[in-house]
Amino acid sequence: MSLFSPPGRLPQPSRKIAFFLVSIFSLAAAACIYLSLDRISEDIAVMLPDNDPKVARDLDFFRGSPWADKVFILLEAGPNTGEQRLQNAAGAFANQLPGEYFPRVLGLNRSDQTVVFRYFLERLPLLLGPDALSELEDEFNYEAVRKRMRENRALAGGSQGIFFKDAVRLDPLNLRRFFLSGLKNLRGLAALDPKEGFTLSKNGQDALITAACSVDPTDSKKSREMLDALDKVQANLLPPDIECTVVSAHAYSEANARIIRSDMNIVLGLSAAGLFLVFGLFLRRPRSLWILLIPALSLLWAAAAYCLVFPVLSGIVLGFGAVLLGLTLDFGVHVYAAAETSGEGENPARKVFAPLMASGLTTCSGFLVLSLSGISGIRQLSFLAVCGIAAACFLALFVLPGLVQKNRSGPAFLARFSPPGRGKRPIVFWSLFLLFLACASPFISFSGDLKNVGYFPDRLRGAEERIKEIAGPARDGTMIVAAGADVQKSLRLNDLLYRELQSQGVSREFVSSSPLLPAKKTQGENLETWHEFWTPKKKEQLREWLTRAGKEFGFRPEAFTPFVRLTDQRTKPEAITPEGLSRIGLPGLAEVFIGSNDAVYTYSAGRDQEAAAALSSTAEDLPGVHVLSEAGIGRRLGQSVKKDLLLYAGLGFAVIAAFLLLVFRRPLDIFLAFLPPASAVLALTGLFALFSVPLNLFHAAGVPLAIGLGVDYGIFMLFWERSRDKSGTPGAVFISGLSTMLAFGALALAGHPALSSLGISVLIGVGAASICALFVLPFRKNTNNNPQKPTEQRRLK
Amino acid sequence: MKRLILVFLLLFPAAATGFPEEEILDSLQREAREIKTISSRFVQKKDLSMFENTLRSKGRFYFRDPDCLRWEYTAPYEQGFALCKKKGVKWDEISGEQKISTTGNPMWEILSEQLIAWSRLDMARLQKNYRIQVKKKDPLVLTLVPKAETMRNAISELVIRMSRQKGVIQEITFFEPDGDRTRIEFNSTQTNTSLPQGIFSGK
Repeated sequence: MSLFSPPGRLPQPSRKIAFFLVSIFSLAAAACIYLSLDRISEDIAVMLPDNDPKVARDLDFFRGSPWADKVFILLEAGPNTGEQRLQNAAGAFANQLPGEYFPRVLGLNRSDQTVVFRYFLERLPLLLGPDALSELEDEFNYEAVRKRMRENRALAGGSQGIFFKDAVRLDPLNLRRFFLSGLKNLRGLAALDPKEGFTLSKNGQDALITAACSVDPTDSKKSREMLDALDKVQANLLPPDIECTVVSAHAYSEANARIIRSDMNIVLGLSAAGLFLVFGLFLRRPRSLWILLIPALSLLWAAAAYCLVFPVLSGIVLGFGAVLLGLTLDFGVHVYAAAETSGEGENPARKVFAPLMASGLTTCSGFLVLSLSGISGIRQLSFLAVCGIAAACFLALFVLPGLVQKNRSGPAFLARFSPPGRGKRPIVFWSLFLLFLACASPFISFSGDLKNVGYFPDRLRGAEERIKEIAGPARDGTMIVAAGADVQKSLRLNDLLYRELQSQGVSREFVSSSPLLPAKKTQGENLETWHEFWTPKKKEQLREWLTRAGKEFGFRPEAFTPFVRLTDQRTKPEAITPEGLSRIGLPGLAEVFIGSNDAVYTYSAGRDQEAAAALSSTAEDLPGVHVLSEAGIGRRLGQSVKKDLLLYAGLGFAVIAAFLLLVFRRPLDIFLAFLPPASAVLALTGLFALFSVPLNLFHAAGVPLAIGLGVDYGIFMLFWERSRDKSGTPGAVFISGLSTMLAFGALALAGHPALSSLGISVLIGVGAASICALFVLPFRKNTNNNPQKPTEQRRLK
Repeated sequence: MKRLILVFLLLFPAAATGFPEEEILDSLQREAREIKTISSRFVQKKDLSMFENTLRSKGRFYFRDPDCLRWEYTAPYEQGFALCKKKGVKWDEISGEQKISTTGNPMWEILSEQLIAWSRLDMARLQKNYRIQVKKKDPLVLTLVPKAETMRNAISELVIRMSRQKGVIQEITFFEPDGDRTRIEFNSTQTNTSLPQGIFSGK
């Protein structure tokens, strides 16, 4: 007995036993799933590659970036709304944000600018590096000091004198220019110190509130609660002429969940209607509804196995698994078709045992290949699919026959349906068509842009653009990360990076915290250099020049004592630290540059991400420094999708070929069995290339399903072709293909790009596989091995 | 009972005069509303502890309702700034002319906000930032104490002396916490006259 020939006595359990066994197993599975519900995560990261260390690391850096835990609230004034009205509303909104979700609102307790300025001036020795001191050395002469005195006199007597009094006394030589020049770009980073908790756009029409949020964006329940709380604040405080948009990971997740819910209502409705239409039109018997038990129970059992094996469960994997296991409907349809064409007391499972086992094992082997995928979600999906198909085979062979036993005579659609065998012409035509698609396929493009598979409502997209304009370059995408073992090590690395950017002459293209927040180690080195610079002779000289030049411009002799004190060897200013900045009311500086992962982020000041990435590429020579750009990560994800697709298609086909060889032995049969899945893949890649549609992650996820169904159709049709009885297989393939296309056609109409992508790819793949299986494969039926008489064939047609 | 009334009057002196501050401030604002442009000369005297003597400067001031300013020193150093709709230029003998914007630049923002509020006698804004008291009625002298601690770190008190000319300031004195003082005396003030072209956009 071969693996694919039915056992001598195939047990056919009675309905009672079948019901009992199925109920026990299903209850146990349902209980197992129920107990695991709290382990289900909705994190999209499961569908991102984890085998490319660079992509995985970059994604971690994006997640840990200072902006990842922030919520941006954009208030947009109406055409007749005054700026003051908008400011009042924004101030009130920032003050009323619920502390439970928003522990900090940037700039709510505005720092005193004079205190901040003095804080840095008192720490001049910690901020000036060797380059600055070497420049000071060059201009250390009386004329230069005199020139500075004139400047100081003008500054103190001018309109801004009140703000610069400390600067004149603590820094009469204007040494602050060395670190202030590095901060020019910080002015664009308005979110650093917004006024009274919000930043106003240049035209005064938008106000931006930036708040740190304690809610994990992957926690959909808490995210919903947080967004509801914001809605309440909005309803209580905002007048109707001011529009509010919340932009954050939470808002995107919520928008996605909402559209998926709405899509599901439409898609499930349409799919169910389509399925009932197919069953009603072609199967007609109420007992045919038992077929639906196969996908339902195989999913239930497979999900239970998934819960038992994996510690963290993915809602996305379960969702896709449910779609994928829709293919097990085929097994039920084939058993039902066999039952329709079987005689009294004959077990229909015997008729379809061989093709069903061959199809099940081949599809399983194809899905096993997916366990090599670089995407964790796909590997989990592979496990779920293999378990589900195994369960479906068991249910189809041992449970369903007892439920769909024929109890009424009369020819059914399945028995009457026969494909139009038209000789070799269809196969030649189809082969040419596939060849054409194969030629087009290499031109397919791959997209790794996550924005192509997520739902980004126009309103959020527009608000995001406005926020980029208001908040400055930090929200613009390209970042350089300095990641050390702790914050101080990261800050040190960031200093080295800044020096590197300075040495390349591109530091002005970036916004870095280094000029104002160097690492403690760098500050220590700077202090040492400072003390070495101020030799006793130089100090004496300085004192003399300051007194002489100062007198000329009216300064008292002791006016510059605070600066002279800084040159003393015993002076050791307290280090500049993130905590110290918080103390003086400037937490924004650390908040905007240091991520939750303790890494320090430098932002590109320009809008051209590619150019910024190219400029900073040499920075990556520093160990621990990484350049992040949305474009770069998209490119790598695209490469990953391409690699995975080639893996699915290449290795999957090789394994399937091995199985087909085992089943059919004859090269022509193997070639023919291959045609439906090959048609599915080539139709997909060829049509996408012809219409210039880039293949994304979710298009690729539909490929295994199309291949699996294509293999099923090929195997069943070839077994049918070789068989000497009427098993109703073509009708089953027709119904299976039609119901799958209806279901995925409905999915293709979804508003969510991921669902729509999956629907389109399966629709194209299964459509091509069905056409091939029904119209191309049966080319020998009329001439070879046909047990039917020609007259009977004509009648059935 | 008499003692109680005395305590009440001491605590709330305004109550004794029927809240004249509000009336005075309202009429001041009404007068200021009529003013669309201001052109004035000024003399600034700064008594700063780091200087031996008083620093004297003189210059010109222009304002156009609602938000255009020009503050320019003509001696001893030529420097100043002009701002209109939050954008403008500043200039001095060393750096020359430079573009400025009050957005994202707190120092310019505070400076321009205050100057505009005083020029327009925008009582709503001034009362939001200062506790205002009428020190003398004729000529009117107001004292302004900043409400915010951050502001009080720079200015402990402001004294504004109004001119007999309606809605026009004659003198402003800033008192700083460390004892430094700046007095600005305005003279030759003209209101609602036409101003030279381009004075709010360049040097």
